[in-house]
Amino acid sequence: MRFPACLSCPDCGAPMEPAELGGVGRIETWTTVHRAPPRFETPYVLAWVQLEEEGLRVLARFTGDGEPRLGAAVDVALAADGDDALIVATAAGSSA
Amino acid sequence: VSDDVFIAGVGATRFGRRPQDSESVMALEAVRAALHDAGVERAAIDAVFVGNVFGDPGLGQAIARDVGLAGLPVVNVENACASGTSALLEAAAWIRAGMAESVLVLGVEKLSGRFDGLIALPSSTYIDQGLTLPAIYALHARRHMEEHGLAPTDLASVTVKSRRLGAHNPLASYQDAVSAEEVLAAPLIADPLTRLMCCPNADGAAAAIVTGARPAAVDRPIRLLGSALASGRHRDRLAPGTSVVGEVARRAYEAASVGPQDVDVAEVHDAFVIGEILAYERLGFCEPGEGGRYVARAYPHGDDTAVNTSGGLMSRGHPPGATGIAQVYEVVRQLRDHAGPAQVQDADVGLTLTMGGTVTELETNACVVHVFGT
Repeated sequence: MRFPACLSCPDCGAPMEPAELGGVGRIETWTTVHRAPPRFETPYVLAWVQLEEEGLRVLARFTGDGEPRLGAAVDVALAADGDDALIVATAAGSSA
Repeated sequence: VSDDVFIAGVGATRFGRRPQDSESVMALEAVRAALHDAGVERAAIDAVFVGNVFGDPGLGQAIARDVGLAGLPVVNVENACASGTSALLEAAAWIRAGMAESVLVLGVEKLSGRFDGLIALPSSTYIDQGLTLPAIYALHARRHMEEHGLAPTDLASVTVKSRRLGAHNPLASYQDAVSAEEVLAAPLIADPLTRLMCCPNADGAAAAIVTGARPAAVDRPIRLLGSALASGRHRDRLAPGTSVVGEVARRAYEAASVGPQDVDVAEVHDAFVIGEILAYERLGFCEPGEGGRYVARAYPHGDDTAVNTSGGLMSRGHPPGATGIAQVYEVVRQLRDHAGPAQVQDADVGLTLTMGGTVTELETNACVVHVFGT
Protein backbone atom coordinates (compact mmCIF):
# COMPACT_ATOMS: atom_id res chain seq x y z
CA MET A 1 0.00 0.00 0.00
CA ARG A 2 1.33 3.44 -0.92
CA PHE A 3 0.49 7.02 -0.31
CA PRO A 4 0.18 9.12 -2.40
CA ALA A 5 -1.41 6.84 -5.00
CA CYS A 6 1.02 5.52 -7.63
CA LEU A 7 0.52 4.69 -11.30
CA SER A 8 2.30 1.37 -10.70
CA CYS A 9 4.37 -0.03 -7.87
CA PRO A 10 7.45 2.22 -7.56
CA ASP A 11 9.65 -0.77 -6.69
CA CYS A 12 8.46 -3.52 -9.08
CA GLY A 13 6.00 -1.99 -11.56
CA ALA A 14 3.09 -4.19 -10.47
CA PRO A 15 -0.37 -2.73 -11.16
CA MET A 16 -1.96 -0.91 -8.22
CA GLU A 17 -5.57 -0.37 -7.29
CA PRO A 18 -7.12 2.50 -5.39
CA ALA A 19 -8.00 1.69 -1.79
CA GLU A 20 -9.95 3.51 0.86
CA LEU A 21 -7.90 4.44 3.90
CA GLY A 22 -9.11 4.29 7.48
CA GLY A 23 -9.47 7.64 9.16
CA VAL A 24 -7.68 7.06 12.45
CA GLY A 25 -4.05 7.91 13.11
CA ARG A 26 -1.44 9.55 15.30
CA ILE A 27 0.64 12.68 14.77
CA GLU A 28 4.32 11.92 14.16
CA THR A 29 5.53 15.46 13.54
CA TRP A 30 4.12 18.82 12.50
CA THR A 31 4.95 22.36 11.46
CA THR A 32 3.15 25.67 11.21
CA VAL A 33 3.77 27.10 7.75
CA HIS A 34 4.14 30.88 7.68
CA ARG A 35 5.47 31.40 4.15
CA ALA A 36 3.72 29.62 1.31
CA PRO A 37 2.82 30.13 -2.36
CA PRO A 38 0.11 32.81 -2.78
CA ARG A 39 -2.66 30.26 -3.40
CA PHE A 40 -2.46 29.22 0.28
CA GLU A 41 -3.61 31.40 3.16
CA THR A 42 -1.03 31.38 5.97
CA PRO A 43 -0.46 30.37 8.67
CA TYR A 44 -1.60 26.74 8.53
CA VAL A 45 -0.48 23.60 10.30
CA LEU A 46 0.77 20.52 8.46
CA ALA A 47 0.86 17.26 10.38
CA TRP A 48 2.46 14.01 9.39
CA VAL A 49 0.02 11.33 10.49
CA GLN A 50 0.61 7.60 10.70
CA LEU A 51 -2.62 5.76 9.99
CA GLU A 52 -3.27 3.11 12.59
CA GLU A 53 -4.71 0.37 10.40
CA GLU A 54 -2.47 0.67 7.34
CA GLY A 55 0.75 1.95 8.95
CA LEU A 56 0.92 4.46 6.07
CA ARG A 57 1.85 8.08 6.67
CA VAL A 58 -0.21 10.89 5.17
CA LEU A 59 0.35 14.61 5.17
CA ALA A 60 -2.70 16.41 6.55
CA ARG A 61 -3.81 19.93 7.46
CA PHE A 62 -4.29 19.97 11.21
CA THR A 63 -7.27 22.03 12.27
CA GLY A 64 -8.29 22.65 15.82
CA ASP A 65 -7.35 24.73 18.79
CA GLY A 66 -3.73 25.09 19.84
CA GLU A 67 -0.66 23.26 18.64
CA PRO A 68 -0.76 19.60 17.75
CA ARG A 69 0.92 17.20 20.13
CA LEU A 70 3.21 14.38 19.01
CA GLY A 71 1.54 11.02 19.46
CA ALA A 72 -1.92 12.60 19.70
CA ALA A 73 -4.74 10.57 18.14
CA VAL A 74 -6.43 12.27 15.19
CA ASP A 75 -9.30 11.66 12.82
CA VAL A 76 -8.33 12.09 9.18
CA ALA A 77 -10.84 12.94 6.47
CA LEU A 78 -11.13 14.60 3.07
CA ALA A 79 -12.59 18.09 3.05
CA ALA A 80 -13.61 20.16 0.03
CA ASP A 81 -11.31 23.10 -0.74
CA GLY A 82 -12.78 24.90 -3.73
CA ASP A 83 -12.51 22.41 -6.61
CA ASP A 84 -9.87 20.41 -4.78
CA ALA A 85 -9.86 18.23 -1.71
CA LEU A 86 -7.69 18.71 1.35
CA ILE A 87 -6.75 15.97 3.77
CA VAL A 88 -7.66 17.29 7.19
CA ALA A 89 -6.71 15.96 10.63
CA THR A 90 -8.62 16.89 13.76
CA ALA A 91 -8.19 15.80 17.38
CA ALA A 92 -9.80 12.35 17.75
CA GLY A 93 -13.48 12.53 18.63
CA SER A 94 -13.69 16.27 18.01
CA SER A 95 -14.76 16.27 14.36
CA ALA A 96 -18.31 17.21 13.54
CA VAL B 1 42.98 5.10 -19.70
CA SER B 2 43.38 6.32 -16.13
CA ASP B 3 41.80 5.08 -12.93
CA ASP B 4 43.02 8.25 -11.26
CA VAL B 5 40.89 11.37 -11.42
CA PHE B 6 42.35 14.72 -10.39
CA ILE B 7 40.80 18.10 -9.72
CA ALA B 8 43.42 20.14 -11.56
CA GLY B 9 41.86 23.54 -10.92
CA VAL B 10 38.80 25.30 -9.53
CA GLY B 11 37.15 28.68 -10.01
CA ALA B 12 34.03 30.39 -8.74
CA THR B 13 32.15 33.68 -8.97
CA ARG B 14 30.83 35.87 -6.21
CA PHE B 15 27.45 34.44 -5.18
CA GLY B 16 24.36 36.53 -4.56
CA ARG B 17 21.76 38.47 -6.49
CA ARG B 18 23.13 39.24 -9.96
CA PRO B 19 20.01 40.20 -11.94
CA GLN B 20 21.99 41.85 -14.74
CA ASP B 21 24.25 38.87 -15.47
CA SER B 22 23.29 35.94 -17.71
CA GLU B 23 24.32 32.37 -16.95
CA SER B 24 27.01 32.71 -19.65
CA VAL B 25 28.49 35.84 -18.05
CA MET B 26 28.79 34.07 -14.70
CA ALA B 27 30.05 30.85 -16.34
CA LEU B 28 32.79 32.74 -18.19
CA GLU B 29 34.08 34.17 -14.89
CA ALA B 30 34.20 30.74 -13.25
CA VAL B 31 35.70 29.00 -16.30
CA ARG B 32 38.48 31.57 -16.72
CA ALA B 33 39.32 31.27 -13.03
CA ALA B 34 39.40 27.46 -13.14
CA LEU B 35 41.57 27.36 -16.30
CA HIS B 36 43.96 29.85 -14.73
CA ASP B 37 44.04 27.87 -11.49
CA ALA B 38 44.81 24.64 -13.37
CA GLY B 39 47.37 26.40 -15.55
CA VAL B 40 45.86 25.02 -18.76
CA GLU B 41 44.52 26.50 -22.01
CA ARG B 42 41.08 25.89 -23.46
CA ALA B 43 42.64 23.59 -26.08
CA ALA B 44 43.39 21.06 -23.32
CA ILE B 45 39.66 20.55 -22.60
CA ASP B 46 37.92 17.75 -24.48
CA ALA B 47 34.42 17.63 -22.94
CA VAL B 48 32.04 19.87 -20.99
CA PHE B 49 29.52 18.82 -18.30
CA VAL B 50 27.11 21.49 -17.07
CA GLY B 51 25.00 21.21 -13.92
CA ASN B 52 21.97 23.49 -13.89
CA VAL B 53 18.38 23.21 -12.65
CA PHE B 54 16.13 26.05 -13.77
CA GLY B 55 17.74 27.33 -17.00
CA ASP B 56 16.58 26.86 -20.58
CA PRO B 57 17.09 23.60 -22.50
CA GLY B 58 20.48 23.59 -24.20
CA LEU B 59 22.01 25.91 -21.62
CA GLY B 60 25.30 23.97 -21.57
CA GLN B 61 25.71 24.28 -25.34
CA ALA B 62 24.92 28.01 -25.21
CA ILE B 63 27.51 28.44 -22.49
CA ALA B 64 30.14 26.41 -24.38
CA ARG B 65 29.58 28.75 -27.33
CA ASP B 66 29.87 31.83 -25.12
CA VAL B 67 32.98 30.81 -23.18
CA GLY B 68 35.09 29.69 -26.16
CA LEU B 69 34.51 25.94 -26.00
CA ALA B 70 32.07 25.43 -28.91
CA GLY B 71 32.37 22.14 -30.76
CA LEU B 72 33.25 19.99 -27.77
CA PRO B 73 30.89 17.28 -26.55
CA VAL B 74 28.52 18.94 -24.03
CA VAL B 75 26.29 17.14 -21.53
CA ASN B 76 23.63 18.97 -19.51
CA VAL B 77 23.00 17.49 -16.07
CA GLU B 78 19.87 18.29 -14.03
CA ASN B 79 19.72 16.52 -10.66
CA ALA B 80 18.14 19.20 -8.45
CA CYS B 81 20.56 20.63 -5.87
CA ALA B 82 23.05 17.85 -6.63
CA SER B 83 23.31 18.79 -10.34
CA GLY B 84 26.89 20.09 -10.09
CA THR B 85 28.21 17.15 -8.09
CA SER B 86 26.30 14.73 -10.36
CA ALA B 87 28.05 16.38 -13.32
CA LEU B 88 31.41 15.78 -11.60
CA LEU B 89 30.52 12.14 -11.02
CA GLU B 90 29.67 11.74 -14.71
CA ALA B 91 32.84 13.51 -15.84
CA ALA B 92 34.95 11.20 -13.66
CA ALA B 93 33.21 8.20 -15.23
CA TRP B 94 34.05 9.50 -18.73
CA ILE B 95 37.68 9.89 -17.73
CA ARG B 96 37.86 6.41 -16.19
CA ALA B 97 36.20 4.99 -19.32
CA GLY B 98 38.77 6.66 -21.56
CA MET B 99 36.14 8.84 -23.23
CA ALA B 100 37.88 12.09 -22.20
CA GLU B 101 41.15 13.22 -20.66
CA SER B 102 40.36 16.74 -19.42
CA VAL B 103 36.80 17.79 -18.66
CA LEU B 104 35.33 21.13 -17.67
CA VAL B 105 32.67 20.60 -15.03
CA LEU B 106 30.56 23.70 -14.54
CA GLY B 107 27.71 24.42 -12.16
CA VAL B 108 25.65 27.51 -12.87
CA GLU B 109 22.34 28.98 -11.78
CA LYS B 110 20.40 32.17 -12.14
CA LEU B 111 17.45 32.40 -9.75
CA SER B 112 16.99 36.21 -9.90
CA GLY B 113 13.89 36.89 -11.94
CA ARG B 114 12.66 33.29 -11.57
CA PHE B 115 11.76 33.00 -7.89
CA ASP B 116 11.15 35.53 -5.18
CA GLY B 117 12.02 33.64 -2.00
CA LEU B 118 10.30 30.25 -2.07
CA ILE B 119 11.15 27.98 -4.99
CA ALA B 120 7.87 26.80 -6.52
CA LEU B 121 7.43 23.06 -7.01
CA PRO B 122 5.23 21.28 -9.55
CA SER B 123 1.74 20.24 -8.41
CA SER B 124 1.47 16.93 -6.55
CA THR B 125 -0.55 15.46 -3.69
CA TYR B 126 1.83 16.86 -1.08
CA ILE B 127 2.36 20.23 -2.74
CA ASP B 128 -1.40 20.70 -3.12
CA GLN B 129 -1.73 20.10 0.64
CA GLY B 130 0.54 23.11 1.15
CA LEU B 131 3.88 21.36 1.59
CA THR B 132 6.84 23.68 0.93
CA LEU B 133 10.58 22.95 0.88
CA PRO B 134 11.15 24.68 4.27
CA ALA B 135 8.17 22.74 5.69
CA ILE B 136 9.77 19.42 4.73
CA TYR B 137 12.84 20.31 6.77
CA ALA B 138 10.73 21.78 9.57
CA LEU B 139 8.92 18.43 9.93
CA HIS B 140 12.32 16.73 10.31
CA ALA B 141 13.46 19.37 12.81
CA ARG B 142 10.36 19.02 15.00
CA ARG B 143 10.77 15.27 15.07
CA HIS B 144 14.45 15.53 16.01
CA MET B 145 13.51 17.95 18.81
CA GLU B 146 10.96 15.52 20.21
CA GLU B 147 13.06 12.37 19.82
CA HIS B 148 16.52 13.63 20.73
CA GLY B 149 15.99 16.86 22.64
CA LEU B 150 17.30 19.11 19.88
CA ALA B 151 16.70 22.73 20.96
CA PRO B 152 15.90 25.81 18.86
CA THR B 153 19.23 27.21 20.11
CA ASP B 154 21.00 24.19 18.52
CA LEU B 155 19.33 25.07 15.21
CA ALA B 156 20.38 28.70 15.62
CA SER B 157 23.96 27.71 16.43
CA VAL B 158 24.39 26.23 12.94
CA THR B 159 23.59 29.63 11.39
CA VAL B 160 25.82 31.43 13.89
CA LYS B 161 28.76 29.11 13.05
CA SER B 162 28.18 29.37 9.30
CA ARG B 163 27.82 33.13 9.20
CA ARG B 164 30.95 33.55 11.34
CA LEU B 165 32.85 31.50 8.75
CA GLY B 166 31.08 33.15 5.83
CA ALA B 167 32.48 36.46 7.04
CA HIS B 168 35.89 35.17 5.81
CA ASN B 169 34.54 34.06 2.41
CA PRO B 170 34.84 36.86 -0.16
CA LEU B 171 32.47 34.94 -2.51
CA ALA B 172 29.60 34.54 0.00
CA SER B 173 26.26 36.34 -0.32
CA TYR B 174 26.37 37.16 3.41
CA GLN B 175 29.72 38.22 4.84
CA ASP B 176 28.64 39.27 8.31
CA ALA B 177 28.15 37.40 11.57
CA VAL B 178 24.77 37.07 13.31
CA SER B 179 23.92 36.27 16.93
CA ALA B 180 21.76 33.37 18.11
CA GLU B 181 19.25 35.95 19.38
CA GLU B 182 18.96 37.49 15.91
CA VAL B 183 18.50 34.06 14.32
CA LEU B 184 15.78 33.05 16.79
CA ALA B 185 13.99 36.42 16.51
CA ALA B 186 13.83 36.36 12.69
CA PRO B 187 10.36 35.77 11.18
CA LEU B 188 9.16 32.16 11.15
CA ILE B 189 9.10 30.49 7.74
CA ALA B 190 7.97 27.03 8.89
CA ASP B 191 8.03 26.54 12.65
CA PRO B 192 10.65 25.98 14.16
CA LEU B 193 12.69 27.33 11.21
CA THR B 194 13.12 31.09 11.06
CA ARG B 195 14.22 33.02 7.99
CA LEU B 196 17.83 32.94 9.20
CA MET B 197 17.73 29.13 9.42
CA CYS B 198 16.92 28.93 5.69
CA CYS B 199 19.60 29.63 3.07
CA PRO B 200 19.06 32.54 0.68
CA ASN B 201 18.57 31.99 -3.06
CA ALA B 202 21.61 33.03 -5.07
CA ASP B 203 22.96 33.40 -8.59
CA GLY B 204 26.47 32.29 -9.48
CA ALA B 205 28.76 29.73 -11.08
CA ALA B 206 31.60 27.42 -10.08
CA ALA B 207 33.90 25.34 -12.29
CA ALA B 208 36.41 22.53 -11.94
CA ILE B 209 38.95 21.18 -14.43
CA VAL B 210 38.95 17.40 -14.03
CA THR B 211 41.76 15.32 -15.52
CA GLY B 212 42.98 11.73 -15.76
CA ALA B 213 46.64 12.75 -15.87
CA ARG B 214 48.36 14.18 -12.82
CA PRO B 215 48.22 17.96 -13.34
CA ALA B 216 51.71 19.33 -14.05
CA ALA B 217 51.13 22.96 -13.13
CA VAL B 218 49.79 22.36 -9.60
CA ASP B 219 51.92 22.05 -6.44
CA ARG B 220 49.54 19.85 -4.54
CA PRO B 221 47.25 17.91 -6.90
CA ILE B 222 43.92 16.85 -5.42
CA ARG B 223 42.49 13.43 -6.22
CA LEU B 224 38.86 12.39 -6.38
CA LEU B 225 39.17 9.29 -4.18
CA GLY B 226 35.62 7.97 -4.38
CA SER B 227 32.04 8.96 -5.16
CA ALA B 228 28.51 7.66 -4.88
CA LEU B 229 25.05 8.78 -5.97
CA ALA B 230 21.58 7.55 -5.10
CA SER B 231 18.03 8.71 -5.63
CA GLY B 232 15.39 8.39 -2.93
CA ARG B 233 13.03 5.45 -2.79
CA HIS B 234 9.26 5.76 -2.68
CA ARG B 235 8.83 5.38 1.06
CA ASP B 236 7.39 7.41 3.82
CA ARG B 237 9.62 10.45 3.85
CA LEU B 238 10.00 10.49 7.59
CA ALA B 239 9.97 6.77 8.35
CA PRO B 240 12.87 5.97 10.70
CA GLY B 241 15.97 4.40 9.27
CA THR B 242 15.15 4.95 5.61
CA SER B 243 17.52 7.77 4.65
CA VAL B 244 19.61 7.04 1.55
CA VAL B 245 22.26 9.53 2.71
CA GLY B 246 23.97 7.09 5.07
CA GLU B 247 24.00 4.46 2.34
CA VAL B 248 25.54 6.88 -0.19
CA ALA B 249 28.18 7.92 2.37
CA ARG B 250 29.09 4.29 3.09
CA ARG B 251 29.54 3.57 -0.63
CA ALA B 252 31.66 6.70 -1.13
CA TYR B 253 33.85 5.92 1.91
CA GLU B 254 34.33 2.37 0.65
CA ALA B 255 35.28 3.55 -2.85
CA ALA B 256 37.77 6.01 -1.29
CA SER B 257 39.08 3.49 1.28
CA VAL B 258 38.53 5.95 4.12
CA GLY B 259 36.09 6.22 7.02
CA PRO B 260 34.31 9.18 8.59
CA GLN B 261 37.07 9.51 11.22
CA ASP B 262 39.54 10.27 8.38
CA VAL B 263 37.61 13.25 7.01
CA ASP B 264 39.29 16.52 7.98
CA VAL B 265 36.97 18.93 6.23
CA ALA B 266 33.46 18.62 4.76
CA GLU B 267 31.05 20.83 2.87
CA VAL B 268 27.51 19.57 3.48
CA HIS B 269 24.08 20.57 2.25
CA ASP B 270 22.68 23.09 4.73
CA ALA B 271 19.83 24.52 2.65
CA PHE B 272 18.09 24.49 6.05
CA VAL B 273 20.03 24.21 9.31
CA ILE B 274 18.49 20.87 10.27
CA GLY B 275 20.00 19.50 7.04
CA GLU B 276 23.50 20.13 8.40
CA ILE B 277 22.65 18.51 11.75
CA LEU B 278 21.26 15.41 10.02
CA ALA B 279 24.33 15.37 7.73
CA TYR B 280 26.68 15.09 10.74
CA GLU B 281 24.81 11.97 11.82
CA ARG B 282 24.34 10.36 8.42
CA LEU B 283 27.96 10.94 7.38
CA GLY B 284 29.09 9.27 10.62
CA PHE B 285 30.73 12.33 12.22
CA CYS B 286 28.61 11.60 15.31
CA GLU B 287 26.03 9.06 16.47
CA PRO B 288 22.38 9.30 15.37
CA GLY B 289 20.56 11.79 17.58
CA GLU B 290 23.80 13.56 18.58
CA GLY B 291 23.81 16.07 15.71
CA GLY B 292 22.70 18.99 17.85
CA ARG B 293 25.68 18.51 20.11
CA TYR B 294 28.11 18.19 17.18
CA VAL B 295 27.59 21.79 16.01
CA ALA B 296 30.06 23.08 18.62
CA ARG B 297 32.62 20.51 17.38
CA ALA B 298 32.16 21.30 13.67
CA TYR B 299 34.09 24.58 14.05
CA PRO B 300 36.41 25.25 15.76
CA HIS B 301 36.95 21.58 15.13
CA GLY B 302 39.80 20.18 17.24
CA ASP B 303 40.21 16.57 16.15
CA ASP B 304 36.72 16.48 14.67
CA THR B 305 35.67 17.07 11.06
CA ALA B 306 35.42 20.78 10.30
CA VAL B 307 32.10 21.39 8.52
CA ASN B 308 31.16 24.15 6.09
CA THR B 309 34.26 26.29 6.51
CA SER B 310 33.06 28.30 3.48
CA GLY B 311 30.07 29.43 5.52
CA GLY B 312 27.91 26.84 3.76
CA LEU B 313 24.78 27.54 1.78
CA MET B 314 23.64 29.62 4.76
CA SER B 315 26.31 32.26 3.93
CA ARG B 316 27.12 31.57 0.28
CA GLY B 317 23.49 31.32 -0.73
CA HIS B 318 22.05 28.54 -2.86
CA PRO B 319 22.39 28.64 -6.64
CA PRO B 320 21.07 25.05 -7.00
CA GLY B 321 22.98 24.02 -10.14
CA ALA B 322 26.22 25.62 -8.90
CA THR B 323 26.10 24.63 -5.24
CA GLY B 324 27.83 21.26 -5.57
CA ILE B 325 30.84 22.65 -7.45
CA ALA B 326 30.99 25.59 -5.05
CA GLN B 327 31.38 22.97 -2.29
CA VAL B 328 34.12 21.23 -4.31
CA TYR B 329 35.83 24.62 -4.74
CA GLU B 330 36.06 25.06 -0.94
CA VAL B 331 37.22 21.50 -0.23
CA VAL B 332 39.92 21.65 -2.92
CA ARG B 333 41.20 24.95 -1.53
CA GLN B 334 41.26 23.51 1.98
CA LEU B 335 43.21 20.42 0.86
CA ARG B 336 45.69 22.67 -0.94
CA ASP B 337 46.14 24.82 2.17
CA HIS B 338 44.74 27.86 0.30
CA ALA B 339 41.56 28.44 2.31
CA GLY B 340 42.53 31.66 4.10
CA PRO B 341 41.42 32.46 7.67
CA ALA B 342 39.20 29.36 7.86
CA GLN B 343 42.06 27.02 6.86
CA VAL B 344 41.96 23.65 8.62
CA GLN B 345 45.50 22.56 9.60
CA ASP B 346 46.89 19.45 7.89
CA ALA B 347 43.70 18.74 5.95
CA ASP B 348 44.31 15.61 3.86
CA VAL B 349 40.82 14.21 3.26
CA GLY B 350 37.77 16.26 2.29
CA LEU B 351 34.15 15.44 1.50
CA THR B 352 31.14 17.02 -0.18
CA LEU B 353 27.50 16.08 0.41
CA THR B 354 24.91 17.56 -1.92
CA MET B 355 21.27 16.54 -2.03
CA GLY B 356 17.92 17.94 -2.89
CA GLY B 357 14.53 17.17 -4.11
CA THR B 358 11.51 18.38 -5.89
CA VAL B 359 9.82 14.99 -6.28
CA THR B 360 8.28 15.18 -2.84
CA GLU B 361 7.25 11.53 -2.52
CA LEU B 362 10.96 10.65 -2.52
CA GLU B 363 13.48 11.48 0.18
CA THR B 364 15.70 13.12 -2.43
CA ASN B 365 15.95 13.44 -6.20
CA ALA B 366 19.65 12.74 -5.87
CA CYS B 367 22.20 12.60 -3.11
CA VAL B 368 25.89 12.72 -4.07
CA VAL B 369 28.93 12.25 -1.86
CA HIS B 370 32.46 12.82 -3.16
CA VAL B 371 35.62 12.13 -1.16
CA PHE B 372 38.82 13.98 -2.09
CA GLY B 373 42.40 13.50 -0.97
CA THR B 374 45.94 14.61 -1.60
